[in-house]
Parts: sequence; C-alpha cells; structure tokens
Amino acid sequence: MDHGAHAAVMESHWGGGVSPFAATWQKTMMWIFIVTDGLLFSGLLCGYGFLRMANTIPWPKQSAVFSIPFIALMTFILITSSATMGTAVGAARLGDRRTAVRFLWLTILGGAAFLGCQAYEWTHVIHDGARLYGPLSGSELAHLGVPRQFPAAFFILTGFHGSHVLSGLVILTITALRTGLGKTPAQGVEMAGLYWHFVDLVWVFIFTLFYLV
Amino acid sequence: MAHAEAHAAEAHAPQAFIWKYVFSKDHKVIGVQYYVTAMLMALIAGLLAMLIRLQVGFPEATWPTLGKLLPRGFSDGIMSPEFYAMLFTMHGTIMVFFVLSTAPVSGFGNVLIPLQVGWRDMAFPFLNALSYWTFLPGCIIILASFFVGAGAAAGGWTSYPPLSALQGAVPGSGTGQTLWIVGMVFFIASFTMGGLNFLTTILNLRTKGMSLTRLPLTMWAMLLVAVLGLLSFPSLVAGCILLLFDRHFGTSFYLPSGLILTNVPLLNPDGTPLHAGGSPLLWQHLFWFLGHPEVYILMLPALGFTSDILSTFCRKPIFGYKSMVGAMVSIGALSFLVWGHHMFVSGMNPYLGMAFAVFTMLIAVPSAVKVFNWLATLWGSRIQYRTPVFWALGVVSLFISGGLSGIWLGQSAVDIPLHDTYFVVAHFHLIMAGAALFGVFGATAYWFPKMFGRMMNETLGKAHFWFTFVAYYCTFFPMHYIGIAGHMRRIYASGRPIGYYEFLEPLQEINVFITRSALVLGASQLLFFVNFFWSAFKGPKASENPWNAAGLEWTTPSPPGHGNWPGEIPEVHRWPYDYSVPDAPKDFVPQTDPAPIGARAGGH
Amino acid sequence: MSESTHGSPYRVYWITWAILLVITVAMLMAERFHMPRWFLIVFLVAFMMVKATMIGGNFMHLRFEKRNLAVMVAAGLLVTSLILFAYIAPESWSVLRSTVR
Repeated sequence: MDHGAHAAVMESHWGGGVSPFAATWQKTMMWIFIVTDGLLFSGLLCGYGFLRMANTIPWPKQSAVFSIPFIALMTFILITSSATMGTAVGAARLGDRRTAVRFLWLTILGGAAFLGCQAYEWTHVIHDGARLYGPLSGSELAHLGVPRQFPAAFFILTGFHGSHVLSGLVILTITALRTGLGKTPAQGVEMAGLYWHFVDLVWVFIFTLFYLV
Repeated sequence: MAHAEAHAAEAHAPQAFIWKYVFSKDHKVIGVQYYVTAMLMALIAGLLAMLIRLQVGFPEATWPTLGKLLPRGFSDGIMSPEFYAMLFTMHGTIMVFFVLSTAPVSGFGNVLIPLQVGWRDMAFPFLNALSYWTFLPGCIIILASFFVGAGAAAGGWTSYPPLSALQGAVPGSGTGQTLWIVGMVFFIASFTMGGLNFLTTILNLRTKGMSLTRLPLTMWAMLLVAVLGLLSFPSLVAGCILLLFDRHFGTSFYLPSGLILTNVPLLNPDGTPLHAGGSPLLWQHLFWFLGHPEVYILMLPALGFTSDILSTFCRKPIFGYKSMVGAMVSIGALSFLVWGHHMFVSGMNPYLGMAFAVFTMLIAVPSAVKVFNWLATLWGSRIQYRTPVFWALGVVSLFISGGLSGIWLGQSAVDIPLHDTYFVVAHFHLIMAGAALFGVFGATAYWFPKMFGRMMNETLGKAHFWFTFVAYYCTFFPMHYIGIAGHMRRIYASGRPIGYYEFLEPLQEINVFITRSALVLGASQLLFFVNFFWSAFKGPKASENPWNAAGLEWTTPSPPGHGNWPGEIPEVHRWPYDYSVPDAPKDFVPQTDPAPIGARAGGH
Repeated sequence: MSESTHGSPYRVYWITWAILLVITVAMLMAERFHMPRWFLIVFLVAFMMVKATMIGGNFMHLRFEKRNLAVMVAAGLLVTSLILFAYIAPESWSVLRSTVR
C-alpha cells in the first residue's frame, strides 16, 4: 500500500520499460562484449607478467631488441586512427554522411598502416632469431640471452592484438561501404567505432606493459 | 523507444519447419534445443559414469559384452587404465560444461528470461540462434574425440599440464586433447554469446514496472550467472590459447625444463632442454580463475529455481527476498576470490593459500543465509506436495550436505589429506551434480506446462524423485568415509598384478555398495526420460497457470506463441511472491495486478 | 549527447589526440630520467591508466553517457583484472624463489 514508493519505481530509470543506461540494447551489448574481450587480453597479459616475473633468466631491455621509436610511430598511427574514427562517429551522428565515410576510410588507412608496421616488425624480429619456441640458437637474440618466453609472449600478444586489428578493418570496411550507400545508421558506425577504440585501448596496455616496462 | 521494436517483432509470415523449429530465432525453441541436447549429453556422460563405477566396484571382473562394444577400451574384457582415464576426464568435462552449464543456464535461461522480465524475445535473437549452433558443433567435437586414433583426452577435466601439454604423455594427450581444447573454445564462444544476450535483456529490456527488486530470484540468478560467465571465461580462453601453443608450436608457457617422458629426457638435438622457463601453476591459476566461478554458474540457477518453486508450493512469499539477492550477489562476488582452494597442495605460495582459505570460509555465510531463508519460507506453510516442490526440497537437502563438506575442504590444512580423495568427489557430486541437477529436474517439473502446454505425470515424477534422491545419497554419501580413509580419486584399482592398493582392500565393499547404488541411480533416470517425452506429446493439456503462481510468465498462454503475449506486454505492479496476502480475493496476487494490496514497491 | 558546444563539433577528438601524444612522448622519455625501477613502473602504469581513461571517456564517449554505464565497464574490467593479477603476482615471486637455478 506504499503508493509513493510504487509510483517512484514506475518512474525511475531502473523501473523497467526504459534502459537504465539510457542506451540502446545494441550499445549495451557492445560494451559488455568489450569487457569480455578486454578480459581475454587481461588473461594473456597476466600470463605474460607471471612468466616474466617468475623467470630465472633476466628479461631483455626492449630497446635492445626493438626500435622503440618505430613502436612509438605505430602507437602514433593507431591513436590518430582513433581520432579519425571518433570524427567519423561524430559526423554520422550529425547526419554528415560524406564526412563520416571520408574519415572511416582514413581510419582504415591508419589501421592498415599499423598492420603493415606490425608485419615489418615481425619480419625484423624473426630475422633476428625470434621463434615461438624461443630464440634461434646462434641468432642475435640468442646472443642477448633472452628467455624462451620473450619471443613467445611477443608473438602471442601482438598476434592476438593484430588479429583484432584485422577484424576491425574488415568491420570498418563493411561499415564504410554501407554508410556510403546509406544502409548503415549512425548507431552502426558508433558500434564499429567502439570496437576500433577498444583495439586502440588494448594497444595502450600492450605498448606500456610489454615495450616500456 | 523500447515498445516500437516490440511491434516489429510480431509481424511474421507463416514459416517453414526448418525456420520454425530448426534454425529458429525464438528463445523458447532455442531454449528447448539446448535442453534436449544437454539431456543427450547427460545420457552419454551418465553411461561413462556407469562404466567408471563398474571398474571401481568390480575391478577383478571381466566384461566380455562391453569388450565387444568398445574394443579399444577393453582387451579380453578387462578395461584398460588409459581408457579409464578417458572415462573420468570426459564424464567430468561433459557433465560440467555441456550438461550443467547448459540445461539450467542456456536451456531455462533462454526460455524464461523474456517471459519473466516481460519482453517478446531476447535482445538479439539472431545471436541467440548462433549461440546454439556454435554449441552443437562443440558437443560433436568433444564426442568425436573418443573416436580419434589414440582416444579422448585423458588428463582429467582440469587438463593440467604437463600431461595435457605434451602430446606423447598418454594416449589421450594427442589429438584427443586438441579436440578437447577446440570443443571447449566452441563451448565458451557459445556461452559468451548467450551471456551477452542474457545480460543485455535483463538490464535493458524489462517491461514497465519490472524494477530489479521485482524480478523473480530465478532472474537474479541468471543475471549473476551471465556476469560471472562474461568475467571469468576469458581467463580460460587465454589459458587454452597458451596450452594450444605449448602443444603444437613448442612454446614453454606451462612447461619447465627437466621433463622426462617415458624415461627419455625431453631434449633438443643439441642437448638443450626442449622446454624451459614455464610453469604448470600458471595453467592452474588461469583454469581455476574460471573454474571456481564456473561451479557457481552451475549452482546459482538451481538456487533461484528453488526459491521460486518453494514460494509457489508453500503459498508463502520467499522469506527475506532482499537478503536472498544480497546472498547471491555476495556468492558471485566472493567466487572470484576463492579459486586457489582447488590448488592448496599444488606448491603454491602458502600465504596465498591462507587468503583463499579465509574467503572460502566467508562464502559459507551467504550460502547459509539462503538455507535459513528457505527453511523460514517452509516454516508454518501448508506445502502442496507436487513434483516440483520435492525437487526443491532435495536441492535444500543436498545444498546443506554438499556445502558442509566444502567447509572441511576449504581449510588449507584439512585439505592436505583430503585433496584428490573421494571426499572431494563426494563434496562436488552432492552439491554440484546433486543440488544443481535437482534444480534442473525441479525447474523441468515446474515449467514443463509452460514450455510444452502439457502436464507431466505426477506419479512418474514422484517415483523418479524418490528413486533418484535415495540412490543419490546411497551413491555419494559413503564416498565421504572412503575418502577420509584415504581412497584416492581417479585411480584405476585392478586386480593384481596390474595395479592394486592393498590398504584400500577393506573399503572395497563400500565401493561395491556405491556401484550398486549408482546403477540404480542411472536406471531411475529412465523414469524421467519416459515421463518427459511421453508427456511432451501425450500429456494432459495445461492451463495458462496450472500452479496458480504469481510470476509474470504465468500470464502467457501455455505454450506462449511467438512474441509471448498475444496483445500488449503487461505492466508489472508488484514482486512475484504475493501469496496468501490478507484481504486478497485469491490466495495469490499476480505480478500484473494493479490492485493496491500486498507488496507493491519492492521485495519486502 | 552533449559535446563541446562551441567551435567544431570534432574538437574533443583532436584535443584528446594531442593530449594522448604528449603523454606518449612523456612515457617514452621517462626512461632517461634516473629513477628507481619501481617508480618508473608506477609512473608508466599511472600514465597508461590516464591514456585509457581519455580513450574510454572521450573517444568511446563514456564521459557523456549515463554514469552507470561507465561504472559497469570500469568495474568489470579493472576489478576482475586486478584480482587475477593480485594473486598471480605473489605466486610468480614464490615460483622464482623456489626455482632451481
């Protein structure tokens, strides 16, 4: 018989009939997916952390293996592509389809450049003797005395991130084409944007925890 | 915003059989698909359990008929130890993931969530259908592992490396283990897709008036299960990825140096160790970080079902709704902090062991709160003794029995002699297989009329309950005693001279008793299968609300058509537990009734 | 959804971009300053979290959404990852101590 409280429930944003997040179910679901996928990378990063900290063989200084300025360039490219993506989403929301499509293609260009850089990095590091099972005996990396987990962690972390970048590029390409044809609403661009920013976010963590720390 | 989508979903042309029943996007069909698939997997895993018990109960017997049916597992009618290892591995894997994570969660969750929150379907029906059709290949792959060259995975459902990471370790460590990992990846992908749908639907798509405190406890359970699954499964995926690389690409994530395989050290041609620097503890941590929330994923739905069933058949509101919710949330949260209690004897850091033990003790508190609330619900009530309430009472009983042995095991010092003994087997079967399974049976008996529009047979249902309940205790309770006496788990004790533990000889008659009870338990399930399938096609038609229950799902036709409510989705004005309200015209007030009586604003 | 009300509607993205770049450069230069290793790690991790917050808040728009969405995401990701790491880290040290060299 608590009419006041009952009325309060019916009106509140947790009272059913509306989204408590003031977001469509699509956006809510995308965020939940991002949390799950993010935790997958957390698991991989924790595994890497465990193996690095438990290792009796000292972990190499990353600057001795990688060209850190080059990795910084990759970071710059990815952050820029995130900014172009944000602009595309903003444009789509404002109804400016041409700008949205243009900036989508710029984002795709940035992502492709990132992948190209990553591929170059892999070639360079493989040439220096990095293999999944450890440093190739007699190679540069073996001379540095790196533990086996170093190249393995490198390939797993960057490989999984790279696969997410690749799938992001596929999603972005489809979004760009369909937005150009007027078939994708602004919300679709926003969903693609959330995924792309998530990919950038993961790179921030990998860049710091694998390349810098 | 929300209601416009509802009308779009209703307009549907008549559909061909394949789109209506096979590749259906309707949550009720998908739920039943999951449920029936889980039943078949349970049948298979149950048969595996029968084989395990035959071996343990009668190790010196020969089985010529079985030897002919399963030639690769038996030679001259004697089970091979390698096959025994495959049996307990696959029994555990299939039961934990493909039966008990599936039937209550994907099965009943899919059927009930839109009906209990008040929506036409799940948030993303296509993804829902995709989740089932990802689950089914996972089932096929895991079953296929029995038929590959060297047999199925044989490293326990926990797949610890190095046994699971070295392909030559045991016969099952080859392709069988790879298929195990692949099957698990399919399962986890399917479960994640389902979890996304569950969480989004329960949070975003409740009907007007359905605040969180007006949700039935079943829905709270599904909400928490989705959260637990989404947060913990990624850890296992990460672990499986690293395991796959250790197995096939020579990495050393879990493999230390110094490994010796069948008397041959694992070395490279140049004498350096094949693997170095890895640690099996990493797998254990990543696995159990999922493993513990996983067992709560199995338990929570049963706890939710029990609350709903008890209040309906006691004609009393569930006692302490808010503390029930608080208890389930605490259990869910604490479940992330206790995983190390599976690893007390692994050589892990003992200070961590202390932390894990303390949190494990803590988790007993909300569990006890739930038990006392159920007992308080039963207190002073006139119980209507129909099949569902028997199962609910069974859940309460098994939750207490199984939970108590968990307190023993949660202390790191007490766990040292009990780890890897039958005491642990008793604990998890009573609580997980017992309480969770009884929850599934109870939910089946309770919601069968809603799902199929027909009533199950009461006599068969009650007979099934009593046989199962008694046989369950007879099978698993004695395991406590043999466990304390030192009977290890997962061992293949055969007649001399293959492998025999003389100190276990006095316990063998208990093993025989357990095996006989297990056979009765297995055979009793036939009553269920007969009841289920016969009633689904030939049972008496059910009304919209055969149990006079107050929940929202009972305002739909039995079974609900596409879109669940023929007209508009009703508004909700109260919680689903308004039973025996003074001054009410009937002994229950449905959730949709706007009359200003009973509990309206929330769950108190 | 409110954005910056004056100037170009895309300002927020490019200002964030500039700040992220500055932070990245700061993180790269950090090594040159002689500081204890643990302090370097704290510094880098803290700046990493700042970057993450800027990306999540501005690019992914969490700053302009209803607060409960941001809380759900942050809590889900951070708390779970912290729990996993908090237990695994001491374990790795004890494995290191007990490893035969």
